[in-house]
Amino acid sequence: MSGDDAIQDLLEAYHEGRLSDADRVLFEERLRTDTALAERLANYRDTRRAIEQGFADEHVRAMLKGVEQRGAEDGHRIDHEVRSLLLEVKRREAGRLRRSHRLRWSIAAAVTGVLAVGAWWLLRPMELPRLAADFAVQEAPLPVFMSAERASSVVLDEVMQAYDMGHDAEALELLADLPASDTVLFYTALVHMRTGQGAAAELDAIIARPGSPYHAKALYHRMILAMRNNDSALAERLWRIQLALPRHPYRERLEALAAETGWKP
Amino acid sequence: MEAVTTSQRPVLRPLLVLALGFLLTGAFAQVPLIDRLERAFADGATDSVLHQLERVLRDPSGPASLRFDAWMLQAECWLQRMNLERFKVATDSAATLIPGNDAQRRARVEVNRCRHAAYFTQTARSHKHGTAALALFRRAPDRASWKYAHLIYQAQGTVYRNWPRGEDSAMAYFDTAQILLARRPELLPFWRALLHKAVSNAAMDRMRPGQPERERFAALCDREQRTALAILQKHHPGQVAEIGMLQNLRGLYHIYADRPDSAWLWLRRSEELMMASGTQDAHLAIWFSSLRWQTFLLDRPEHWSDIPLLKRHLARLQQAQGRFTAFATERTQAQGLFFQDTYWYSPFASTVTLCARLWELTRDTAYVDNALWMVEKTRRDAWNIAQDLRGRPDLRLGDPPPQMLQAVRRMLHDREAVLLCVQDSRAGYRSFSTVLVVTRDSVSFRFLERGFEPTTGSEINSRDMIVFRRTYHDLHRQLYAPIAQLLQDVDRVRVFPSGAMAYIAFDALLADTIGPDISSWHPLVERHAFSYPLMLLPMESRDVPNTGREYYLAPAPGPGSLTDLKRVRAAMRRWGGDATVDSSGAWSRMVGSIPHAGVLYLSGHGAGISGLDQEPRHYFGTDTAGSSAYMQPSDLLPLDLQAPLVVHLACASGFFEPDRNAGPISFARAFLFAGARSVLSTAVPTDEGATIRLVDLFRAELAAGHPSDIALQRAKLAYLEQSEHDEGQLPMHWAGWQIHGEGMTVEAPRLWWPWLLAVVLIMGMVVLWGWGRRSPKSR
Repeated sequence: MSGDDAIQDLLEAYHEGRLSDADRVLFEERLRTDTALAERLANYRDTRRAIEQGFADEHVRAMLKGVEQRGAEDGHRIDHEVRSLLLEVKRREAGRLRRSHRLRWSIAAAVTGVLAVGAWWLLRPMELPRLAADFAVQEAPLPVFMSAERASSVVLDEVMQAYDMGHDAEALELLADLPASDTVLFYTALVHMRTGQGAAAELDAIIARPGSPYHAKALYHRMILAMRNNDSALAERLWRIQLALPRHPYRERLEALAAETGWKP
Repeated sequence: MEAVTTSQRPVLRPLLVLALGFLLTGAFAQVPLIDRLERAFADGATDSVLHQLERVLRDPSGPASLRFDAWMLQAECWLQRMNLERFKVATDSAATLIPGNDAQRRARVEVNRCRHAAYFTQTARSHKHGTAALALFRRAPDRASWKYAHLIYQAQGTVYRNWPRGEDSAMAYFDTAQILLARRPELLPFWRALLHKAVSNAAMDRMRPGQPERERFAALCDREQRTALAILQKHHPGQVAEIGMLQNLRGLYHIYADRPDSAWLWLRRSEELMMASGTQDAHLAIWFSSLRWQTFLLDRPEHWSDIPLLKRHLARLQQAQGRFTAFATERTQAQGLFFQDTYWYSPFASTVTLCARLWELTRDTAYVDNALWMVEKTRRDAWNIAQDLRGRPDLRLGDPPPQMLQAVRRMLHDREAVLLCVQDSRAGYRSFSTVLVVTRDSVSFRFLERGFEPTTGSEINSRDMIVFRRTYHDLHRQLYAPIAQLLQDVDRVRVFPSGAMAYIAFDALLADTIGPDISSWHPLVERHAFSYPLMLLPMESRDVPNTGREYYLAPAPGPGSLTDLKRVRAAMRRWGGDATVDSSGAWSRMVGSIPHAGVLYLSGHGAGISGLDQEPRHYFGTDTAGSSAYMQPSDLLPLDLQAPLVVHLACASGFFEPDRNAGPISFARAFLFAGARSVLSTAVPTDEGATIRLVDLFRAELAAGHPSDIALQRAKLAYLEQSEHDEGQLPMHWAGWQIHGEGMTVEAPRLWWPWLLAVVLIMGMVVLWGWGRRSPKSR
C-alpha cells in the first residue's frame, strides 16, 4: 500500500469516525501542523458531501469508482481527476441552486399576482352600467296576428312591426298617433331606452298603476335604467320591490343580479 | 195613331175585358199550382213535387213571384231530406228574385238562412238571420197578411233552443208562432205538425241527462211529439219522412227518459217504415239516424257485453256505410266538403266504437281490420267526392283492402306508427273516444275514459301558460300515457284524428308540469315527429321529385283595412328572391302560377269563424272589399297542383271546423284534394314574427334533407330553445303548426342548365379538336 493510500484510508476513517480516540487525537494534531493534509481532508470532505448529498450522477459515480480502482496505479492522476470531478460537481450544484432560487421566486411572484388580482376582483367597485347592459331584456313585440277576424289595431300592429325591425323613429312616430295606454307607454319607453333617450317618465307612469299588465316589466326596465345611470340606491330599491312581487317574469334574472351586486333582500 | 171612335167602344170593351180576364186567369192559375204542390209535398209526394218544381224553374220566362215560390218550396223539400247543401242553393236562388221593397219575401229568405245555420248549431249566424227576419216582420204595415209569419217565430224559437238558458225565450217565440198559425186556418195542418215537432225538439234538449228541469221538459216533449204524430197520421198519412223522423225522435225521447225497451220499439218502427216506404234513398238520413240512436242503447250494461247483439248491429252499420257512400256522394257540394254537422248521422264513429268494444271482448283482429277499413273508407269517400267535384273522376280510389291491418303494417317504415283517434259524440251523453295504435309489431285499440273531452285541445290558443299546462298535461295523461310504452321506439307518428280529436296538437302534450318553462315539461315534440296524412295507405310512393321551383305568394301591400304584413313579405323576398315572389294579390295571376309551383309559399290574413261562416277565407292583402280580395277552399278544387309541399302562412290555415268523419275541414284539406302532397299550416291564430322565425328554422331543416314532418319537429325544438321568455313559448306560436298529408323529403328541383352547359362545352371541344386536326392539312 502506498503512502497516499494510507493517508486516503486515514482521511476516510477519520471522516467516518472509525479512528480510535488516541489515533484521532494524533491525527488532529497532525492536521494542525500539516496544511497539505488539512487541505486534503477538506477536499475529501467536499467530495464525500457531494456524494452523500445524493448527487445523482451515475456517470460521476462510475468515474469515481474507476478513480478509486485506479488510485493505486497513479496517485497524481487520481488526485487531478478527483479535483476536476469535484469542480464539475460544484458547478452543477451551483446551477441547480440558481434554478431552485429562480423557481421559488417565480412561485412567490405568481402567488402574489393571483392574490392581487383576487383582491382587486373582490374589492373592485360595482360597475352598474356594465351590469345594466348584461341584464337588459329585449322585449318581444306584441303578436301581429295574420288574421282578418281579430279586432286588431292596424297602427299598433305597425308599431310592433317597426319595433321588431328596429325602425325606432317610425315606431315612435306611430306610437305618438295612438291614444295613451299602458301598451303605448311601455313600448315608447322601450324604444327610448334602445335609442339612449330618457324613459323614466313612461316607466314611472306604469309603475304607478300596480294593476297594469306591464307593471312588473316596467319595474325591471326602470331598474335597468337606474343601473345604466349608476343610481345604485334607486336600482337596489326597485330590485327589492320586484322581489316582493309574487310572479315576476324575470325572477331568475333578479336573483342572478343579486349574486353580481351583493344586494340582499 | 188613329183615335178610337166612340162607336168602336162597345165592341172593344168586351174584348179588353176578355183579354184582361185571360191574362188574370193565367196569372191566378199559377198560384194554385204552388198550393197544390205544397199540399202534395205535405202528403209525402216529394219526388213528384221536386220534378214539377224543376219544370217550373226551367222556364226562365215564368213570373218572378212564381219562380220565387218554386225555389222556396224546393228548399222546403231539401230541408226535409236533410240535404242542407241544396236547401241553401234553393234559398239563395230565391233570394235573387226578390224585388228591393218586398219585405215579406226577404223575411222568408232570412228565415231559411236562420234555419240553415240552426241546423249546424251556428247560433250566432242563425240569430243574425232570425233577428233580421223578425225586424222585417215587425216593421211591415201589411204583416197581418203574411202567410208564413209563424215560421219567423218558429225559427227564432229554434235559435234560442241552442242558447244557454234560452228556454223561456224559445218557448215564448213558439207560443207566438202558434198564435200566428192559428190565425191562418187556410194553412195545411202539416205546418202545425212541424211547429209541434220544433217545440218537442227544444223540450228534448232540456230533458237530457244533467239538465235541471228534466221532468217538466220531458212531459212537454212527450205531449208535443204525440200531437205532431197525431196530426201527421190523421191529415198526412203519406208523409213518411216526417213520420219516420218523429218516430226516431220518439225513440230518442225514450232513451233520455231511460226507457230502453220503448226506445228500441220506436227506433225499429222507424227503420221498418223506411224499409217499407220503398223510397229509401230519399229517406236514408232517417235510417242512418235511427241506427245511430240504436247504438246509444248498446252501451247499457245489459247489452254492452252481448257479443251477438253487438256483432249484429255492427253488420247493420257496415251495411249502412255502403249506402252512406252513395248518399253523400250524390249530395255533397264543394263548400266545406263534409261540413261538420252535415253528416252527423254517418255510421262512421258508431262503427269504430263497436269495433273497439268487440276487440275488447274477443281480441279478434278482424275488428281492428274493420275499424281501419272504416277510417280509410270514409277518407277515400271524401277524396272521391272531391275528385268528382274537381272533374277528375280518373283520380277516384277504390275501396280499401279488407285486410287493413296487414296493409297498414306493410306500409309502415321502421320506427313509425299510425295513431287513430276517433270521437263518437252521443248527443247529450258523454262521448266515446277510441285510440288505435298500430306499429310494425304491435297493436293497441282502447277506449279513453268515458267523457274524455277532446275539445279542451283548443287550449293551445290560450295565452295563459297555466291553463295550457294543466290542460295539455291532462290530455297527455289520458291519451298518450297508456300507449307511451308502445311508442317508445317510434320516431314518426302518422295521426288520423276525427271529430273534436282534431283540436288536439299532439306535439304539445306535456309529460310533466314541474319546472319553470316548456323545456322542463317535456312536450311530446321531443319524442316524435307528427304528421296528419289524408289517408292511411298513401296513394303513391311517399317521396316524389320536386319538378318545379319555389313560388311565393306574398301579402299584397295597400291602404286596406287589414295590417300590411310587411315582415312576411320581406322574409319571402329573402327566401326566394324577387323573381319568384308575387305580391300582386291578384287571384287571376295566382291561379296561373300555383299549379306550376314546386314548393308553394302562400301568406296573408286568415278569416272565417266556425259557427258563423260556411268556409274559411284567405285574404291576399290588406283589402277586404269584394270577392276577389280573398279565396276559399272550394276555389282551390278546380286547380291541378303538383307541389310536394305547400306552406300556408295565415291564421288557422289548417283548421276551420272539425269533421265527425275525418280530419279537420280546412284550406290544408283543399290543397291536398287539389293535388298537393303535403301542407304546412297552423290550426290556430299565428303571429307574423313567430311565423317567420319558425319557417326560417323549418327551411333550414328541409334544406338539410329531412322529411317535412321531421324538419318541422326539429324546427320546433330549435324554436323553443331560442325562446327564453314565456311569450315566445306560447303554444300558439309553435304547437299549432302541423304537416298535413305525407311527411316527405322535398328535394331541390333538378336543374337542367348545368347539363346543357356541359354538353355545349364538350361539343365545343370536339369541334375545336376537329378543327385543330384539319388545319395543318389546309396549310
